[in-house]
Amino acid sequence: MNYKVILNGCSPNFSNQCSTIGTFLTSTAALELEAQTIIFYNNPALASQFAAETPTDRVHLVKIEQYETQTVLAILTELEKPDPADLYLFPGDYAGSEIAVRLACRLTGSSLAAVNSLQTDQDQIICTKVVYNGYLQGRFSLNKKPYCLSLARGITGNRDNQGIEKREIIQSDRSAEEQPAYIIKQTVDPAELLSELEEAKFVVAGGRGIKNKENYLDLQQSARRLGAALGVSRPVAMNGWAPLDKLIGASGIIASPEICLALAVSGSPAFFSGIEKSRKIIAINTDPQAAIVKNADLTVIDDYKAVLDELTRLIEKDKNR
Amino acid sequence: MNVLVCFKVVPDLDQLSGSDWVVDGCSRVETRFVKRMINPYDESALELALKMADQARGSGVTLGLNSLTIADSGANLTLKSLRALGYQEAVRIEADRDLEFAPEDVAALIAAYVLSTDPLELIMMGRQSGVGDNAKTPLLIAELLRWPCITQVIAVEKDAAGTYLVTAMADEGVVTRIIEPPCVLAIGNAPSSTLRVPTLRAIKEQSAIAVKTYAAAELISTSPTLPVNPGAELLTLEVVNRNRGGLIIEGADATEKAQILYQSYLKGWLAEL
Repeated sequence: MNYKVILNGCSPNFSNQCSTIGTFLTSTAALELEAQTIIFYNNPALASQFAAETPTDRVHLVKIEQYETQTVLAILTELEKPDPADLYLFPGDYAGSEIAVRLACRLTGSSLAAVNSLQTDQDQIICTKVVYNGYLQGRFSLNKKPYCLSLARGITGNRDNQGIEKREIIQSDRSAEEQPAYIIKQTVDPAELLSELEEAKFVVAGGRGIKNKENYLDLQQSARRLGAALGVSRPVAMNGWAPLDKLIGASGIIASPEICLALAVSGSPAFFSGIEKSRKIIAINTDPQAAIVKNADLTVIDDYKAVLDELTRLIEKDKNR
Repeated sequence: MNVLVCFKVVPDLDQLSGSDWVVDGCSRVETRFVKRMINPYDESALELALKMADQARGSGVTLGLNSLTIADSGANLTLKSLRALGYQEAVRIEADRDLEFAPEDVAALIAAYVLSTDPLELIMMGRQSGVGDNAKTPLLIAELLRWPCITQVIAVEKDAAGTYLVTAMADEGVVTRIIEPPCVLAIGNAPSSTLRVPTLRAIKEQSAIAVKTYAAAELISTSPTLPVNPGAELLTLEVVNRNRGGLIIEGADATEKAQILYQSYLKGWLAEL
């Protein structure tokens, strides 16, 4: 299948995008590595590094002033005419999820967001993605080319693009493109390259059951004493008890620690998708019927504070020996 | 009206137990008995618009708010509550079929409504909603109307000059833009955006006022033809199994359970880090 990968080189998570796409390609028999990746970037010093990380054997580096949806859509639409593709693949980050859907509209194709697998059939493709807030997985058919797909967040694993010995690279400079007229002024408060939560080997995650901001602050102290990174479920962040950059789950950070201590979380799929890559999950919850109980490796049915206090005491005692 | 906020009343799927997840012959799960709620992202959109109207009023600017849902008459109560909260209009589109997995058709209905009503400055709605989890509707509306769209919005304000200050999460960080309308805003994780509660008196005042209702077919037939793209067709559904076994640690009290957890499991796991 003739396809293109679209990556955002203006984002600090470029390597994650490559890893996601690379893993997806490795697990998708229908897609060979012979394809073009279009990378939008604005820092020339990073261009060769981006090209080397690319998951396919052909690279088109497009220099732009800044990554703006309208600009990127216009360039992609223009590039389609001389070099059409059957399929466009985007990573599941904010930009990819948005542009996949809008590009399909402009190219009169069909789109699907947050895809986690793909199979080709005669005149259609079959994709899966989670629905019903993550409780179910749906199989979908798309039959109008070009198919524009954004991938599910959290696709990581074995990446096999090492077989690419030489990449064919072309470059173009579109940095003179005018910015969209509807934006009068724009400022960016840059994101950190990788959050502490994404890299942590030990994560403590607090859910709605922590009840208030004061308890969140106590939890922050406990996590520090345990040497763990702290994350929270959506209700905790939405209530303003914790900052947004602590949000774990489908709409937040996908953590993949060795150990996750899930405290007072119900375990809804939207949250669980943010910790399910943990090697070991320990739940502490007063409700034996909570979904997290079955989804954890170990569960303590009790008040999280009392259990956490004792765990902290034991861990510190061993540390101080 | 300046601002249209679209919302959806959805089942609270977290209320379903494991045995409730039975897929019927039409690739759906029975959710009619489950408590309903406003989709959380849409709820944030509704509250952000109210906050924006409050803030604009403080600066001497009046902001007209309109709310819209595509639903059966069960949503009328929510629409009347929104009127009681300060939404000047509450509109319901009666669909003639299940649209859970048809975001292209939902977007076409909303775009048709927008084209049939007075000019708007903003359309606000949540970035995604269950049951379909399509995450496409605001983007499709923007394409149909040829408007720009900002996703993952967490705050919005209107200023006296007629422009809007929009703050949104992006892969590069937090982006703040001053924009000229019109624009579609897809609301993301906006903190402290739980929808306020109307007073009983305000609800009583709205109870006799009928909700403006449109039939989907009538709306589409009277609007300009829109280029609706083909969507993805749902073939099958299956339950996602995340079960890890869930060994429960027994003990006399929290302290003893913590000690067993630590000595038998956690201590060894931590040593391997």
